[in-house]
Amino acid sequence: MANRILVIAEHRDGNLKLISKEAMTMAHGLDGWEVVSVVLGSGVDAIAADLATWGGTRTIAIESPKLAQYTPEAYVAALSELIEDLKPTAIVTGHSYQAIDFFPRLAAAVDGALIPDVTSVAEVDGKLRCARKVINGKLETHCDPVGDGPWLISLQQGAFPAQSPGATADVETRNPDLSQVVTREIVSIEAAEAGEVDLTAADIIVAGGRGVGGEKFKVVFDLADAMGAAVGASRPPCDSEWVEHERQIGSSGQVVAPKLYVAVGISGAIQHLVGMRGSQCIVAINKDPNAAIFQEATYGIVGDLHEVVPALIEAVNEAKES
Amino acid sequence: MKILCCVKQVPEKDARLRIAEDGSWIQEEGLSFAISECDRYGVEAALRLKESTGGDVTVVSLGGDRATKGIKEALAMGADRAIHVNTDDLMMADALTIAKVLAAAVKDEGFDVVVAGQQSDDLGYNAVGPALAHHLNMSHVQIVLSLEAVDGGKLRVRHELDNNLIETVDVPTPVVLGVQTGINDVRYASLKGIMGAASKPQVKKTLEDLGFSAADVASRVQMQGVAFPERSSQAEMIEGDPAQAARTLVMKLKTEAKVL
Repeated sequence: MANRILVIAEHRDGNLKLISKEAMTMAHGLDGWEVVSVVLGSGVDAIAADLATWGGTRTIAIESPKLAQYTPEAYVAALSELIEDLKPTAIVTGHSYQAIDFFPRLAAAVDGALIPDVTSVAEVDGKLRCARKVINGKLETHCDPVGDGPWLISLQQGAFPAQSPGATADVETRNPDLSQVVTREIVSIEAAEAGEVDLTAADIIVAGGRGVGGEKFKVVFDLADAMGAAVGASRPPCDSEWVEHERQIGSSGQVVAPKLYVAVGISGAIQHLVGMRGSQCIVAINKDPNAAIFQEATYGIVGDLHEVVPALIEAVNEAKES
Repeated sequence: MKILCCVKQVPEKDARLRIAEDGSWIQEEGLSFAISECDRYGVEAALRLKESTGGDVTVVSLGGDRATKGIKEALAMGADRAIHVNTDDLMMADALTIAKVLAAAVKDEGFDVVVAGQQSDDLGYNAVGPALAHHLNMSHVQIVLSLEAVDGGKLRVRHELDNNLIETVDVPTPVVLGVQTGINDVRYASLKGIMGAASKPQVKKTLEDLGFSAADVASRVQMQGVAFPERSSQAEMIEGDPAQAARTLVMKLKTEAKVL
């Protein structure tokens, strides 16, 4: 019997999330596995039809009034029942914030093995060997799930670029009785306050990270001035209030794609990378030669930013004069 | 309210990492360790909740002897008592196994609120909180930005969803909250707090005490060693002293990348 992989898809505002299409793409990359996808909600016919165009043997739409809005309670209850029925060897989903919320609890509920935030998957000796980053992205590890499954693997955003398989799955609808499931009360869902600073329109962005230091953060503004750039930041400077929160770039902030992105003292946590990866040219300045940001860089300088940045300001000014 | 906060000792953020000779993990000798960043905000959130609702705060940490440093720090900040699950055997264990052991260590305490960091700085599974909630039969919220007690024994919690959405939910207690960084200003321990920490009640529990055999706590994830990621071929590293490197970079940005 072929191994079965279950892909849990997510949706928001009636649309299948890109990260779920990426998860389908990863599943199709396994040779000889049966791919089954599932989407949960209330009135999700159209989303299930879209998901089915991403292939597999079948797409299951789980419908319940209890699933009209996402809650971990209803998700875990419905998915536990489905997993009990399908007995998949592997279960994958995108490593979204929503998955961070429900997927570990689901893994505990089905007594599986959980490998989160994975960047590549390969079948080795009958296991799915997963690559992931540890210690804030500085090191890479490969790890295998232990046991016969289910193995619950969540996939880092962008790690498996979505490719349509050109085949459509059959859609089947299930209506489990979730009336006994006690869900939390959702008070509101709102967009995070945008603030005054719109970095998405900037051609050049100079962004500072933890490595800059609180007292010295002005150098980031000085370099931005010299380059005619906007100032952005990774999460730590915003958390520490060295700069306004609205300058945060990343999964919890703005997503930017300028012509030139200069990352100063930014180590390159994935939450930041997803907000700036699309930049045309990326310069990284960091004292740690192993910083993850260099993986993304077009040009890199390893050194003390408090020496390199003043020199860079001078060089930019010289170039203007010449 | 009876509040628990979970703290993990991890290598300090700026630590210069070296890989151990056998390649299995980093060389820990000579590294300094500190409370994982999210967990620090968690301690502060727990203390603030106690200050607004009354009750007490217990700190729990799982790890070898070095975990006592984090425990002391949390006690000095204002936690009232500590539980140390003292073992060297689970350093590389997966999040589900850690959650199972933590649950066994605290299940009889009747905590109303458990605060954990949403992610650790070392293994970064983002998972202990929700899995712990499963084992303790509590509700949970991940990536928490704020919390306050509201009527009916509930907490009103704001947390991050994808696409920059922020959801506000009322969750019944008992509940496990996985907090995000930056959600509060973490206090420093006062001198009085530091002086008083040593006399606060601390319980040590071993895996044996909790009734676990080695097989019970075998990791569900087998790591095959660690390595520094290979640098992508596209990155061009610019060498030289700062002035030279800066001029070379500016030249390349103008003439090669044509973005300046």
